[in-house]
Amino acid sequence: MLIPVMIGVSLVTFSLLYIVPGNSVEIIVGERAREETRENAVKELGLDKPFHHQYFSYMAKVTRGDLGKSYINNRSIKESIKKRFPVTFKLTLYSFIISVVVGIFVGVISAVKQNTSTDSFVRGVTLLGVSTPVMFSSLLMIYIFGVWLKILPVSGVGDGSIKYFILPSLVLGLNSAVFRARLTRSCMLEVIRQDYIRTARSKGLSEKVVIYKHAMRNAMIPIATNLIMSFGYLLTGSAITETIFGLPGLGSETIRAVFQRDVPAVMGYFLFQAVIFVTFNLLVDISYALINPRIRFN
Amino acid sequence: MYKSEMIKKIPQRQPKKKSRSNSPWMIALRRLFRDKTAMMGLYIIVFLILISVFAPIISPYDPIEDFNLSDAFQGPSMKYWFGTDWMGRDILSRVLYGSRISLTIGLASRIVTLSLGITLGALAGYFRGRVDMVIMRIVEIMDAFPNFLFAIAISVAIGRGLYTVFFALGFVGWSGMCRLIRGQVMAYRESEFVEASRSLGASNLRIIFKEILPNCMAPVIISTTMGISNAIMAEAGLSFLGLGAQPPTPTWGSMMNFGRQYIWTEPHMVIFPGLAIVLTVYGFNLFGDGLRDVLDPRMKD
Repeated sequence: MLIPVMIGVSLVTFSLLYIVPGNSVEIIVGERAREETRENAVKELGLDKPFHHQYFSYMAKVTRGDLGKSYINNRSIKESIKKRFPVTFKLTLYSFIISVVVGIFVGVISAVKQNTSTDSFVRGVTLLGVSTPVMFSSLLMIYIFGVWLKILPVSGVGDGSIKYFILPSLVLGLNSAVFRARLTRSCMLEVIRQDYIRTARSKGLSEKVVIYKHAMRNAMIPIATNLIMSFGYLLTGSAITETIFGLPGLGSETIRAVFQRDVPAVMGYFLFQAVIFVTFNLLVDISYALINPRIRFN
Repeated sequence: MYKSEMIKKIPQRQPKKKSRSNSPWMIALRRLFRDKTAMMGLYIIVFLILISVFAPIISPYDPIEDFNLSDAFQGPSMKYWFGTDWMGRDILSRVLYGSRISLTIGLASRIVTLSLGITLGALAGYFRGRVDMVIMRIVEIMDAFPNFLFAIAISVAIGRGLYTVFFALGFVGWSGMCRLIRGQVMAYRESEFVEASRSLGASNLRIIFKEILPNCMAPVIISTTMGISNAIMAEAGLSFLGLGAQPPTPTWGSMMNFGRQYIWTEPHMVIFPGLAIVLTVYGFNLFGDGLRDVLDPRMKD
């Protein structure tokens, strides 16, 4: 399952980059380079070969674990992934924690107090949150905390301490939390309607036990599988946030590579992120079977 | 007992009054009009469509031509309600005109999504076997790409511009629609009404388009509405990065991108286009939520 998908991903990305307007040689040698220099560069990179030849020689290198070098700064792609991925991972981890804590808490509260003013307030706010693009909330956060209150750094990672990650993680985390809150709420409501909850209530259990022991456990099945998926989404979906906050992570680096038509870099990053994404998809499938014994794994 | 007596005993259905049609769609529509959330969303959408249609009439200045460097970087005032940008252009007019791009992209990219998703999904779900295998592998490959990065890659590959965005966003979103349609078609293809149609000699195409697909419309409509709001967000993201419609065309995303450089002193340059995006997406989300409650009682939350 993983290998055919990866071949497909590499093929699609490679063909996309193949049709990019503007020659990638010009990026390397500059627009005013002499004809000779240009031809040498073309030969060296094998760009004069037909499409399938280029593709296969690239894939042959990839299978040996060599992702090539960037056209722009001649650094090894593998090294830059190693250097930049930890930043993205940290950001993802912090936002994931925020998202899980806030999202589930708010969702459960909203479901338990269904049709009260708390509930409708939560529904309104979460829908508004769902409708707010990340870049808008990022810029608002920058304005509020960086310009008004002047208490948090708004750009870069500095020495890598946590305070540089607070704002970007808040933005990403809350953005993902509103989706989670909506999901949690509807899952909880689904469960609360079930007969076994009525049974639990009617045998005199306290509301707390009913909600946190009986309802939560069953509502957790879809919520937990979504947790895994959303980690994958966060890991690969932080490009705009990283760009705005100037974090040297994989997302902002991918955007840079795409814009500069840095072909080997784009290929490398896309493949890497696709591996992550597909792995998380697989984990979701496995977790379905592990968490819910009613579904058999086949 | 004679047949005529029997007929008398069984209560015969009276012909309905014509004024109140009872087709499932009319029932849904009536419920929709009673649903406050959905109507709120619909009002917002209609309001935005009116704005984008009448933008030349209602905007006080021309969004591109009327620049005045001596009026640059002004905060909101009576003369410029939303203030001015770095060239002294009226932000209100630019926001109003920006709705045209957002709505067009939001709606137009759904055409790509729907046509690709419905065709491939129906083929996969109906014919199963090898067709299904091939199509679902393609869908899996599409799903393995982080969506937004893929849209960026497409936009860069085929050159910046408005049409690129519309194509890129449509092309990125179709796999979800395809899965949805496939599931629906697979659920219906063994049902009795399809069997009946088949035994009457209907062709496969007729069965797919006349029998099965009309039954799948409710989730398709819901997911399309939600898809519009996603596409509007994604368009804003792309033009924020400098892809999409090129300056001086006013788009909300690019306005925020330029405003971002001046956020320390001129936050209004970011806030108004940002609020416009929020309002638009909020409208479609409200409407989509309402539609879901009305059309799909099982998904009601």
